[in-house]
Amino acid sequence: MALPKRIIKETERLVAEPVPGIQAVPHDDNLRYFDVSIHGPTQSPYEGGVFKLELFLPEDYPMTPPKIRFLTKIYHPNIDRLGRICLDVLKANWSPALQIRTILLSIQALLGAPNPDDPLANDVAQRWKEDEPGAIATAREWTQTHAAP
Amino acid sequence: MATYEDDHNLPASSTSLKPIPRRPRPDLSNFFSSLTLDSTTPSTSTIPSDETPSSAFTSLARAWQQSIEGNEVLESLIEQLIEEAQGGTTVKGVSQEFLDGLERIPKKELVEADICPICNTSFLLDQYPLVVRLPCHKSHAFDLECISPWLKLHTTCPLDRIDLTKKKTPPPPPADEEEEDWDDNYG
Repeated sequence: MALPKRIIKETERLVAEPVPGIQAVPHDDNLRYFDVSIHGPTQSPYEGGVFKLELFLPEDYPMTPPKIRFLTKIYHPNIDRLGRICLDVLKANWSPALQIRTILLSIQALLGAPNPDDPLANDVAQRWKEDEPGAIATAREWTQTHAAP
Repeated sequence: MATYEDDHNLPASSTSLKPIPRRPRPDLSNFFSSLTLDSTTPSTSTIPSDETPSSAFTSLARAWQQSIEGNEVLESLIEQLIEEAQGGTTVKGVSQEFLDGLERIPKKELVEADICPICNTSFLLDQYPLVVRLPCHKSHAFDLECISPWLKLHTTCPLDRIDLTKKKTPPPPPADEEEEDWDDNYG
């Protein structure tokens, strides 16, 4: 099936005017499948890390949200062991006016502002609430171990 | 003609237990044909009773019901399935009437820089643009072709998530304006 014009335009713009700290490159053999990397925001425990994600645009995109998953291991209360992300705009709050770039920016913002009150990784969220400095230290260690550029 | 009971050497009285003695045979073709119906098809569908996706499951449940009469567990499961199919699982979106009633924006009011937030393309690239404005805000304009599939499944504006089926809130009372005036003075 031909790729919708919107996906072509989004891809062109992602390449021509990349978002600082974010790369998204489509696969040659499947233009709906993107290799994504996000730089950890400064002032966050993920600073200095480069996190790899996979992004897939389903057939009915943009009526349904893109499917996104972290491939790099990350210690974060809203990201589970399998890399799945708990983010409202990826689920109930999706809107067809959102784009790949806005979604990736939201994920980068989520790294800068973990939300342990709406957890996906329960054990991480628990630790985040009970021992925030300890949790942040672990997140920093994991960044150095798994997300070294 | 020999009945089922004759064939199976059963007392004929058992038929009286069945509410409808002669139902059509289970036919899954109904189920599969209704699955292929576009779930976003508006209610003016050619098959009046089959316009919702749940009707497919209702027909499946009925087919099963006929083929396994007597099994209590399965029967209760089927009843549940039918209830759910008839209940809240309907697709929530706006009606075709709502889409038809959206305000159209004439081509002469559009400029090159106006783009549809869904396809990200200038309205004027289309020689005959069919552009509608959502009631939530005057700047919220979309290609009808782009907004229709969204509004058939959702009732919210893609730009501000305002529920378009809810009645508009009344204009702010004058007290608010006074407060704004006060803010101005304060600032």
